[in-house]
Amino acid sequence: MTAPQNPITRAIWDGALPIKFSLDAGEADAAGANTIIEPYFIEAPRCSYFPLLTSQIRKYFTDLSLQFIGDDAEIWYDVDGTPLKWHYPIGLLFDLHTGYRPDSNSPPPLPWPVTVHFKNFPADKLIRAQAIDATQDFFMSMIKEADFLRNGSTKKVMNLSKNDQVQLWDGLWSNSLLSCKVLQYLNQAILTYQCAGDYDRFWSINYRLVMNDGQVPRHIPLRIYLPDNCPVIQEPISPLNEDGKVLSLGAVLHRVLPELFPSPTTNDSSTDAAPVIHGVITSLAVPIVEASQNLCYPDNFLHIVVLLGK
Amino acid sequence: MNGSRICHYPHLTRAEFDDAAKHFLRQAHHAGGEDADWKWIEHERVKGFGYLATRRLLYRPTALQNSIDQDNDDTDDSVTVKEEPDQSSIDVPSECLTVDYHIIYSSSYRVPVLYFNAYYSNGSPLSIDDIFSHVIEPSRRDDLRTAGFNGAVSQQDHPTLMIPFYYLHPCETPFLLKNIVDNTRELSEKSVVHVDGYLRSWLSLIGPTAGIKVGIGLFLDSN
Repeated sequence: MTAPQNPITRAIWDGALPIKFSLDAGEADAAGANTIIEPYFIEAPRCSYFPLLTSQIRKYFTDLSLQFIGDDAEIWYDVDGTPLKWHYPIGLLFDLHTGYRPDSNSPPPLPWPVTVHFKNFPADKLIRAQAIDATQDFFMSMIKEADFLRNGSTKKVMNLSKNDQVQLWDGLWSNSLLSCKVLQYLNQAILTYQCAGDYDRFWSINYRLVMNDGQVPRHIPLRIYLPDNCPVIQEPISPLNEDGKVLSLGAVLHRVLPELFPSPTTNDSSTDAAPVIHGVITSLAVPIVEASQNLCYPDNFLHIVVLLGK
Repeated sequence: MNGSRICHYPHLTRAEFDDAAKHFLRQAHHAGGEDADWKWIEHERVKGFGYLATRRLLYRPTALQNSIDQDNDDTDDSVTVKEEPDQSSIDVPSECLTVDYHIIYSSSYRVPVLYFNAYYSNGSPLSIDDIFSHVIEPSRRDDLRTAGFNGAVSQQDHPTLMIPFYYLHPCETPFLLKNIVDNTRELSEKSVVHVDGYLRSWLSLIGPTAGIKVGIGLFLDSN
């Protein structure tokens, strides 16, 4: 099945980040590595999840004679000592942890340095993963929650056929596997063909969910991330104002965070807070329904990272 | 005295939840016993993320995973109400589980959600399988394992503390709550749940599933 062509969702689907995976230095020593273990480089889809990359990362390090017999679910990642929440999309984690503002004068911190751990899973900080199954479960529960926010029930998702549910997840998963640059040996033509297939597989189903059969959603599935490990802001945001007009992204941010967004239309120079979605500072003028339909992550949520100061 | 009416029962607004929590705390303290241990906790910096919390000890027969550790190095620093082991099993060594229960408002589902974490006496947390074996009410296990896509109990970040907690998925909660009001007498005063009675009714429906006993004391109001 072909998905409706939309250059924005297509660009977001194809968005990728070069990542440099290094084995934790202490673990490398303990493993008796007498030579330096070279890091592993991947260009990973921004919309993917770390557990979907784990098996190839594991293979790389075990091929370098690292002894590891544990389950994939024991493998975890950190950045500067902070464990990465594997249930967040990779692009969101990058925007959140690097705090990189695309309007700054410095170049982006790429490739993104991420540390790989095979031991000491921090169960007090990270949800215990059952590898890929848990990622799929988490992903589906986000999709369900988004449906509940839009419609006040989860009927649209629950009424998807088993086949359609599988197709959503498989599209996302195989995009992660195939678009990784590590598979360079694959014929480029096959690669391009496969990726296009993944996009269609995912979006032909997802289109029905995010467009909500043409009905204005009750609430926008939206999560706002602030610096300093603040709780994630997730309020039920109605897309319409009192006069029944669709709110802009700026108006929504102004309602939720009036101190950071004192005006619904312009970025205030005193706070200089910027809403970053998929690594891009998004215009405050975008109508919130369109933002939700076009800029949401595959889990159907609009994940907005608010960055302060350049 | 009755608290105000809830505008969109079974759904609550954040303000109604905060208000309902105050009523619940008053009832819990009046009820005494282990109910008196419920507290209200706010995020240290950000307003609007408050929740109800309590810590309980659950005694379970041994043959459990981490077996006996009776002289536990008790790291428990909060007030706990000790629940005496069953008289019948007084001579049988039992494992004591510490369970933290939090009642948290879900802004998506607009109902309270029961979050919990459980620990063995040596401090190690229970896995999801252990949670099903030792915390979840036995008669509900099969239902909860197969509900929805992936069962009705899973882990999620605690919305305020941002660390992993187990929770009972709330998407069926509104239907449960609708069923406890008398729909035949539409809008008569008695058919409506008020803010003051909401959380104890909710807890009596949801709590037993995850090992919280809800006593009659919560319903014997002081006023």
